[in-house]
Amino acid sequence: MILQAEHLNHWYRHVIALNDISVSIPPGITGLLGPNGAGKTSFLRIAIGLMRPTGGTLRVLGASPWNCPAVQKRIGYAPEHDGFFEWMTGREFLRTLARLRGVRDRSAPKTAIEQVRLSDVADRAIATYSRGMRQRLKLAQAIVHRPELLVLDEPLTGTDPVVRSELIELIARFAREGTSVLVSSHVLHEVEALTSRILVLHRGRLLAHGDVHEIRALIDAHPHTVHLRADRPRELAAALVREPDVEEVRVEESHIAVRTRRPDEFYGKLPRILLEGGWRIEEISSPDDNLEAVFRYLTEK
Amino acid sequence: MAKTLAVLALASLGLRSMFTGRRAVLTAVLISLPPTCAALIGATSQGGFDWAWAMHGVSLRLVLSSYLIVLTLIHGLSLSSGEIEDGTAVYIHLGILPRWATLLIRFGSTTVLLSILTFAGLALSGLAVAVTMNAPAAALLRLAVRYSFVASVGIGCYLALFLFCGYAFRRPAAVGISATMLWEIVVTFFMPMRFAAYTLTNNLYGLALSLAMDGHPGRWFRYRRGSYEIPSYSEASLYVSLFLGFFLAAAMIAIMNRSIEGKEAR
Repeated sequence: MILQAEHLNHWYRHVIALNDISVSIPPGITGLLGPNGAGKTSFLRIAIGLMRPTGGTLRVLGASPWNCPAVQKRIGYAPEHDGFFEWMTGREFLRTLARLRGVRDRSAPKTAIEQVRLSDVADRAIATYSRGMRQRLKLAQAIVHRPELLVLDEPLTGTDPVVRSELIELIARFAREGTSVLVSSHVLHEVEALTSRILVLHRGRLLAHGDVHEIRALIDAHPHTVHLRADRPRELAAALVREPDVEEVRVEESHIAVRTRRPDEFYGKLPRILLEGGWRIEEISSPDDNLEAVFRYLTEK
Repeated sequence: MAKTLAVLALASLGLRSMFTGRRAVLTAVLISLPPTCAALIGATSQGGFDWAWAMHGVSLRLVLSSYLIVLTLIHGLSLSSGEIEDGTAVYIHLGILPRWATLLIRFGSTTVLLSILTFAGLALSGLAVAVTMNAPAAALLRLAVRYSFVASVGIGCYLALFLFCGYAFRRPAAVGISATMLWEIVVTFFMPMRFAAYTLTNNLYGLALSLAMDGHPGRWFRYRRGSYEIPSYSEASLYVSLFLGFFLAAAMIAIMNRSIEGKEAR
C-alpha cells in the first residue's frame, strides 16, 4: 500500500474538514473525487506532511509524512493554487527546487522541462506564463526529483481541452513508468480519463471507494432523470410513457423530464422511438449524470 | 553534498526574494532614511551640536529605536506567514532539510544581508554628516561600523521575534506590532526604568553606549540627569543573548508544529 489512513480527522477550528477516514490505497493511479470543500486538499496536504491531522493516523510509503523529510523527498506534490516565485524563470524555479530536494543530477530540471513540454518558455519569467503553462510547471517541479508518489491537487483545473488531454496523457505516462499517482478533481469524467480507481469524498466523509464503474452502477441503480428538448413535446411524452423502463414523464416549460431506473436500456431504445415518431431532438441532457448526483445519491443511501 | 546544495539554494532564494516586489521598495525606502535624516540634521544644526552627536542621534533615535523594528517586521513576516499565505512555503518546506534547519538558514542569511544593508545606510549617514558639517569622514565611518554591529544584534533579535510571531499566530502582524509598540515604545520611553531596563531598545542602547559612545550617554538618553544607568555592556550582552536564543528556539518549535494550510482553510 502506498497510503494507509485510519480514523483520520482534521478540524479547522470549529469546522470539520476530514471525518473519520479509513482507507488503504494501493500503487497505481487513484482519483480523489469530491466537490469544492469536500476535504480533498486537506487530505492531500496531510498525505504529504504539510499538515498534521487532528486525530487518527496516516502512513505514506510506510511512514508518517509529518515533519519527515525522508518520506517527503519520495513524494512529488503539485498544489491546486498558484504560488510561484513570479520573478524567477521556469528554469530557475526548477533548478532551485531540484537543489532543495537534494537532486545532484544537473540535467534533472532540463529533463523535467522537456517532459512537460515547456522548453520554449523555460527562460521566461513565470509572471508571464499562461494558466496551462503554470499547470505544467507545477507538474514539472513535482517530478524533478523523480518521486515514487505523485500527489496532484486539481491538476486539470482551468486548462483548455488540448492542454487537459496532454496533461492526462503525461500523468498516465508517469504511472506507466512506475510512479504511483494520487490525483484530485471535482469533475468525474476527468478522473475517469485517468483511472478507474476512485475515492469519493463529500463534506469530509469518505462516501465510497473502489472501481469507478461500480460507483457508476450505484448511480445507475437509482432513478435517473433525462431531459429532452424536442418539437411536439406532448406527443413525445405520450410515446415515452408507454415504455416499460420509464417510471414518470413530466412536460415542463422548456423540456420533457423522463425518470427511469434503467438508463442504459432507455438510452438504447430512444433513437428507435424518435425515428418512429419523426421527432426532432434539440438537446438531450441528464441533470443526474454529474458528480453532484453521485454525492446526493451516496449521501441519501 | 546534497544537503550543502539545499542549504545554498535556500540561502540564495532568501536573498534574491529580498530584492523583489514591495519588500525591495520598502527596504530601499528604509535604508535611505538614516542618510536623509543625517543630511537634514547636518544642514540645519547651525552649530547646535557637534558632528559626533548628529551621528549618535541618527543611530540611536532612528536606527536602533524604530528603523530596526520596521525593517525586521517586514522581512520576518514575509519569510514566515507571508510565504504560507502566497503558497510558496509549500515548495520551501518540502525539501530534504528539516523545517527547523530551513528556518535557521533563512534567518542567518536574512540577518547577514539586512546587517550589510544597514551598514550601507549608516555609512552613507556618516558621509552625509561629514559633508554637511565639515567633519572627519574616517571618524564617522568608525562610528558607522560600531553602530552597525549593534544594529546587526538588534536585527537578529527582532527577526527571531517576528519569525516566531509569523509561525505561531494566525494574525502575526497584529500580534507583532502590538507587542513591539507596548514593550519597546511605551515601556522604553514612558515607564519607570525598573521595567524599561528589560526592553530590547534599552539593552541595544547599553551595547551602543560601550561600543560606540565610549561610555558617555550625553544628551541622547532619557535619564541622563537621574540616578538611572543604562544597562552595562555585560548586562546588555546577556539580555540580547537570552532574547535571541529564546525567540529563535520558539520560532523553530513553532514551525515544527505549524500546519501549512492551503487557501481552502481560510
